[in-house]
Amino acid sequence: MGMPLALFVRLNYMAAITLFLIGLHVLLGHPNLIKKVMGMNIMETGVFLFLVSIGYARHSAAPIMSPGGAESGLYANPLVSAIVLTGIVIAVSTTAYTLSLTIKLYEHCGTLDVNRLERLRR
Amino acid sequence: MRHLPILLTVVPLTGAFLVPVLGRRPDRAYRLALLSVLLVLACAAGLLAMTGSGQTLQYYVGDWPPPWGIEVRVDALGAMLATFFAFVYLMVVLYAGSSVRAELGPAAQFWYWSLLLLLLAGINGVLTARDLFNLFVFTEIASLSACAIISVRDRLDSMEAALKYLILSAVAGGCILLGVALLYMVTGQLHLDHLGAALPAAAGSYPRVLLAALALLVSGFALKSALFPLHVWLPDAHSSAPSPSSAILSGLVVKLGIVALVRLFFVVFDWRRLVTLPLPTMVMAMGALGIVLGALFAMGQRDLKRMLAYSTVVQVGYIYFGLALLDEIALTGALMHVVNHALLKSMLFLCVGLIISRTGERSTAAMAGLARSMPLTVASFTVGAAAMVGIPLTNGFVSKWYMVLGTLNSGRPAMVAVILVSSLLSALYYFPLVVSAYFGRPASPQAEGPEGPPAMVWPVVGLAAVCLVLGIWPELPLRLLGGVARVMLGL
Repeated sequence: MGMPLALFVRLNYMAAITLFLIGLHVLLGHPNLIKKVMGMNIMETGVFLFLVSIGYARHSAAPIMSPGGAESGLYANPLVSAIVLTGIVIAVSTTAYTLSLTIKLYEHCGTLDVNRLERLRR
Repeated sequence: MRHLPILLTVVPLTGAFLVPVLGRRPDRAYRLALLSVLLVLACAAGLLAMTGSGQTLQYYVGDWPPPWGIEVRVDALGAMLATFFAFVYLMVVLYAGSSVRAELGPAAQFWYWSLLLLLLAGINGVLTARDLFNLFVFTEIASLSACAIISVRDRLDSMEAALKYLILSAVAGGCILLGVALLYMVTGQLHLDHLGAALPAAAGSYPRVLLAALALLVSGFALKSALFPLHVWLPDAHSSAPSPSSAILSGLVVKLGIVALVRLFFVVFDWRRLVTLPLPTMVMAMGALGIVLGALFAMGQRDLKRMLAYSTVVQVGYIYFGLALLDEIALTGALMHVVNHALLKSMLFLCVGLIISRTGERSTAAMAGLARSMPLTVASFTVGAAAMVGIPLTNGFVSKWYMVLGTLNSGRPAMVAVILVSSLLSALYYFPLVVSAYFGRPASPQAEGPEGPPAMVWPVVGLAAVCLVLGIWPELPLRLLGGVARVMLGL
């Protein structure tokens, strides 16, 4: 397998790690609270993409046993999808809670900028 | 009886959802919460009796055996921590029964009880999980509800602290999940024992993936448990929550990351063989830094609750330090310190809560001359301070003594200095408070009358009494934890 093809096959893994890093960078580095929430979601999406990629093999079928079976004899791993579902539930509740806290803070101080929040507190 | 291991999680979870449905009236919500916590304590005590002689209880959820089903397992460590944590919870709930009325509005009260029970479900879930993904899910449940019981107070500083905690715990959660994914990718297992069995082979083929997974998991759980350089969220979060919440956050929630890492290090990664990094040395260094620098930070605090919060950073440092020595005696001491610190720090936070509600002040100066008007509170605080410093006859002495012995036993006599210096530093910030409480002159004329509602004073005294009992008769828990330590080290 040549180098370009190897890169192409691993594209989703690289995309997942890139998304994770972008999200982490925004979550920790961006001063705006809404952007931080977006970063959190991008980071989590990266992890989910990674998990789904683990479970997929080329030409594998959906993991449903039917009389004929899959042509290639390969099935995608359903466990990682279940993990991703649970992960999404956690991500959604964290997002909802963070956003509601953000709204409360905005009502109190009228700003979404963490640096200005720090200054307001002193 | 067979279902006890899962009931530990199911009871508080059910309670958490019943409270908003049935308990719209604050007193009814309180009774429901109290009932759930009592049931959990009974379950945990039953489990402790069953695991006392060293066996473990396995429970397959839905009767599906492990490679496909979820296993919940209670070993002596899990049962013991669950029992003591449930006891602390009971005391905190009794205390909070009176104090939340003053601290929270009527609308927020039943949410508070609901969140408290949800947090207990998360805690017990982490203690009994035998599956890496379950460990992650329950850690997230615990972190989210822990954030929520900080922000339940409708005040700016509480919400800011909750947000800071939430963002960092989201970072930790993301790292942990990615670590879990990497481990699953190279082994195809999630059950801790199966992972442990599959990793040596995977370490040969994918050493770098394993290293990345280890780094992600360690930094995630260390962030959740406030190991030294990752402790920045803790002082704000623990000091701005209502006092009963601070007691639970500082005493119990911080320990969850530690328990998770204990499972990872000793069941999955076997860090004497698999780990090519000098990870024990790194953890020990961070623990030692936390012990010394945390104490220095604590000395600089003028706010009682912030001082206690920095003291938590110190005690977490102790626990990691004891774990990383990889010595049977030190490990016993470190696990004992998990229990002791849970009792001590929650007791101290409740004491400070009483002092704040009585004097209306949170500064260290508020302690001056309080011994006359609040004798029981100050006496309990004294027990706590003595135990934090490590005076004999208190439980803090027992665990520190074991850690010192373990440090000597593992051939690192120079590291004993860290423990001794830090005890001295703890004395420097705890004892002036005790001395001024007994001999100082009160800043303002003090109100006459009882020191607080009995429902708030007696839980504090109860916790202090348990600390003394564990200090005078530590044999039983030490024997249990010694057995756990031997199993973990494979002796």
